[in-house]
Amino acid sequence: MLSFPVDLTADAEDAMSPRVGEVFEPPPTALVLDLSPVRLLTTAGAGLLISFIEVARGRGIPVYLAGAGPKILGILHRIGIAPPRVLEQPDVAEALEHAARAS
Amino acid sequence: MTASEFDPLDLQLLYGVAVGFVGDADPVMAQRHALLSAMGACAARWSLLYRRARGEEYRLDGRRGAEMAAPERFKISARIEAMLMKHGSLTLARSLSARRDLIKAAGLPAEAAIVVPCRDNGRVTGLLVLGSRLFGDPYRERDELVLAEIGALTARALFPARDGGPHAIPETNAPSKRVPRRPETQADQIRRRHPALQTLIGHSPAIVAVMQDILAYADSQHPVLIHGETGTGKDLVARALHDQGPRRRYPFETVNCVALPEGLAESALFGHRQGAFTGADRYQKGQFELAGRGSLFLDELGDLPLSQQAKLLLVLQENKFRPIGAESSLRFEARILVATHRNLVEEVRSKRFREDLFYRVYGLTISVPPLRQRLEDLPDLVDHFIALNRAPGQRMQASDAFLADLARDDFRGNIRQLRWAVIRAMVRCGHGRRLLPEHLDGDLARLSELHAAPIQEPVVPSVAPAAPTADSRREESASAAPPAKLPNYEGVLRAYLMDVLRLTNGNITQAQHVMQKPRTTVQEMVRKFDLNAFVAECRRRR
Repeated sequence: MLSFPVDLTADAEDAMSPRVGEVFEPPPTALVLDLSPVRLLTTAGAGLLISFIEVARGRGIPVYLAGAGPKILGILHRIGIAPPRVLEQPDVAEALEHAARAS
Repeated sequence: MTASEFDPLDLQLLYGVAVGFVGDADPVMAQRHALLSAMGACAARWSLLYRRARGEEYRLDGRRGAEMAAPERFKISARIEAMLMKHGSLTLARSLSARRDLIKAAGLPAEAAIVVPCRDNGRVTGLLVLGSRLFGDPYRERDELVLAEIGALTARALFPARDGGPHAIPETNAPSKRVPRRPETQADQIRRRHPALQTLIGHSPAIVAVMQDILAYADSQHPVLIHGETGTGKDLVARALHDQGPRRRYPFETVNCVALPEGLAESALFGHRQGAFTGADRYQKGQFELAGRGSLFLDELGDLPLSQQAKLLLVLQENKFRPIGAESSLRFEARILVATHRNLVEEVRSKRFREDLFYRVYGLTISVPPLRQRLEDLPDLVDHFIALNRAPGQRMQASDAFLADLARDDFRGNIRQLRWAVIRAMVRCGHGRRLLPEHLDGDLARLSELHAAPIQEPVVPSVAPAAPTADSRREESASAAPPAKLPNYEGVLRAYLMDVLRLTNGNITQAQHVMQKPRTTVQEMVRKFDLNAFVAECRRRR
């Protein structure tokens, strides 16, 4: 699981990018992106999120967007990140359970 | 376009982009903001930012997202510049002539999908180049409009037409010493003529053979089996096959057979209709349907459970599939590309892989060589990873001694291992300009030692005598009697885990990487072998 900060903007890159190696080596069976803390999502923050989804997608790993509020989901849908390409779960614990069951 | 013509949500997003530029006093941060904003605005797989240098030449300033080979500099014609000024962006799928000029002639990545000018005061002062959208969807009119605005904001912040813009970055890449150009190799020629193969790095005969196979098979409709060790880049070969072939305009869908959730596999692959089962609250396409007329890449097919193999076989035999809950079948039109690190013949023999499925996918084959068989490609690969991972404007290169040290390794982890070795060395090098042997910091020796460990695993001795080593032969000559006690499997597994933990200072993340096991497995082994205290001790010694 990967948790994102309250402000998901370009500034989050320093903290998030080093986690790519940690999250994908070895490849997980599913990737749960915890968006429950996120209150501000800019297009740059969405770009950061996309870089994780892209790696997962390239390896055929299902991605769960968990805990995102309606405003955040609205932005993601607008830019083109929506089911069925990603899985959405309103609750992080449920997403983790779902991902664990799926693996 | 006026503000009132934008969707309110897009207007809000663009406001965020503008505020981001105002808030970032640091030009490097502003550049990062531009690259990520362009990617995020339309879910692009990657973004490149070029600044206009002299005349029509553009120089690479920064990049984000998926890795791909991109030219450090290129020129565009006056015609293309006029088109960019007129339209505000160029969607390459819609303009064959622009595609020809920018990809074939200028050398932009074959996967480049849209080029957005950074315009200020009626001049193009930079370019944003974006890859295809994350899920293969085409760029929408809305994307083009939003990106045009982001291009303009980027120009004003980073590349103002007149001096004195808020974040104008001084040009640091001005040519100082002319580097002698090496003669064009056969691999260079292939890449120049076929940009889809630019992601394959190197000049060795082994990589040229792979390129020739891709060119030979790209137009065929038959399945291709890509075989190679883990970390050799089988996925890049699959992608190049797709991009080089006639299906490149359609989606490229990847199914990782290892990560395929057992319970949800059928739904993930074939999709489901609304109400097909509890929780199926809407129609969901599966990957077979999403692939459309494109390519379906089944990665690590050798790891697909037998139960799923039967279902896959049925699709391949009948060229159709039925989503769960659907009344009729859908036609399967995609081309199948498969990859595996396993010896499928051996898997068939061991009854772990269905023979009938084997013959369905065992058509055209491409063997991707391990890195140790193409060590002459090391310098190119190292340069490639440096270029991908260096900070904007940073100049860094590998010293000969660094390359020589690298070449001593046998690279069991292949290119993936090399990539991390280079990244770690770059981090250790900090702001330095040359990677030196000390930046490897014993990385390779440690990994070789760890990779050597499983060879001592006594699974074989427990059923049959191990192949004699020089030492064991000496011992045998002293005494022909069998060893009094062979270590049991669990004992050696525990010892191996302890070795790994000792060498990784108790870091479970590094240990799982070395052992190539899921984190939960390593944690379970630590618990089972009662090594929690040992882990803590290793961490204390760090």
